[in-house]
Amino acid sequence: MIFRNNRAEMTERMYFVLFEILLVVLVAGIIFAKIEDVRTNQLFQKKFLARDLALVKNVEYSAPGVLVYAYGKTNPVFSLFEVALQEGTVTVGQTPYPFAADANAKFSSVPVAGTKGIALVRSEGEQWVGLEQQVNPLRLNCPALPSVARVTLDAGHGWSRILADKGEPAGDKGIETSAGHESEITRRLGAGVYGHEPAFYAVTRDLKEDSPMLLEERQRKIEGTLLSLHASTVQTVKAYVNAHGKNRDESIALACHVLNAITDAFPAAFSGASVIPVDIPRLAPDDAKRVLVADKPGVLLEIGNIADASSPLYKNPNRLADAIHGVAKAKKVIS
Amino acid sequence: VKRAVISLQMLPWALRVIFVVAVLITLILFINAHFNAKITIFNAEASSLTTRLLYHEDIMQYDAALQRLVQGTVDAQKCKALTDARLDKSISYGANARHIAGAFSVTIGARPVCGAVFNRDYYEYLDVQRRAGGVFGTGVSVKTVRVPVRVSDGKASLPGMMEITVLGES
Repeated sequence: MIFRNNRAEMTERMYFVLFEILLVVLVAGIIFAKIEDVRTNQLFQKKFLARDLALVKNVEYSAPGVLVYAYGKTNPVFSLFEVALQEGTVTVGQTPYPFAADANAKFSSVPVAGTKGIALVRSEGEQWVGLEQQVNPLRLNCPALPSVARVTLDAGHGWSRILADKGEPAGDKGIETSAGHESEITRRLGAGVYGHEPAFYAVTRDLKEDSPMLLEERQRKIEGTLLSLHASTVQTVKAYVNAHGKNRDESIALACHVLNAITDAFPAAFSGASVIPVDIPRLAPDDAKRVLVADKPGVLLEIGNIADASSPLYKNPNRLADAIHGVAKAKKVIS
Repeated sequence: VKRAVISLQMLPWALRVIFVVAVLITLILFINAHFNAKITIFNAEASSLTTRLLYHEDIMQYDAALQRLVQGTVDAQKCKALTDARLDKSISYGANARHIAGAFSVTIGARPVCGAVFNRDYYEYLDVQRRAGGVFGTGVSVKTVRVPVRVSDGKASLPGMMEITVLGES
């Protein structure tokens, strides 16, 4: 005790009280300063976003083939921070985080700020980052388009309305849903393509009225390049080619350009687009892809989704037909 | 006067309680800040790197006609020709090389077939640290997977094992 009388004792206690008040104010001040720091720097958000983007890039590099990841379409963080992706590093604000790039692949990037989303694209030998609205994320790098002398359209699915009305075996409608069936949908699409330039196109089945037809007969009717039209039950567009065909590279190039034309025409309609070479002898005997003969160029298109009434198959078959015809005529050889 | 003295005696206790509460809040905030600073995604990163090796074009068999990797089949010739430098180029952290490191090896029974390490310097540094770890831990995160594979030399295909180890600082 410093002071010996009562008043002095009281004064001493007051000093301790004042000291404790000072201490509390100091601690509270430090806490509020820390909270403010965390709030203004948005530390967690930046670190989270940087790591998340780095992980997405890692996964993209890990996945075989072409992969597209539309990131943050509804994510408001892109309007808060400047996001930059250089080879091997994601930077959000000033917060960097590394990812494992592939130095063998070309890497292109644009700085992204104040946007609503970006697209991270991995295609053959290339990594691409850009504003989502500026890219068709499904676009493939295609080889040069081959010359096409004549295109044979293979539409329908071998179902006969006439035979069905008579109560006789009427053939196959293909995939059938409440929205429609493959026989009718693909025939309508085929007619749309054919109508652009009838002299340029041949057909396997009649486009006005579908009917059953043996595979061998359809194969015999192929003149020039085959374009077989099908639908699927998923929201993708796939192009199958014969992996061991004589004209394999030509078929792949044509398939690639057709896919690009379709996904350009309907940028948001499909979740994936791919060219798939298939080993025909390994397929089931009744597989539709068996129409892809080995000695002629050919592509079997599977355009989905037949169960979705808002699919371009129903909503805009003419534009779909325009896109397909646009590729077919681009390298047409005038005879 | 007596009541006033009692009130004055209680004031320091009230302040002490407030002080203790403030200290506890500070502690919580520091723990929170620590978690923010140390968001660890090693497991996810290691998984994607593992996948990357399992689909690596310089390790796995590739069917040029189908344009597809033959999943789960190691091409022994390509794998043997794969060097650390080439693997480093295909899994490149660039200037951030001291971030994560990994190695793989392929064996048929006890016989080694091929293997390589990416970020070898960092891998060896972490590996020493991992092996020398004591009671307080090693400071190294480790993920190891062993995957049954087929090993093809172009003529025959034999069952083998691929082991992948990814190391990072924890």
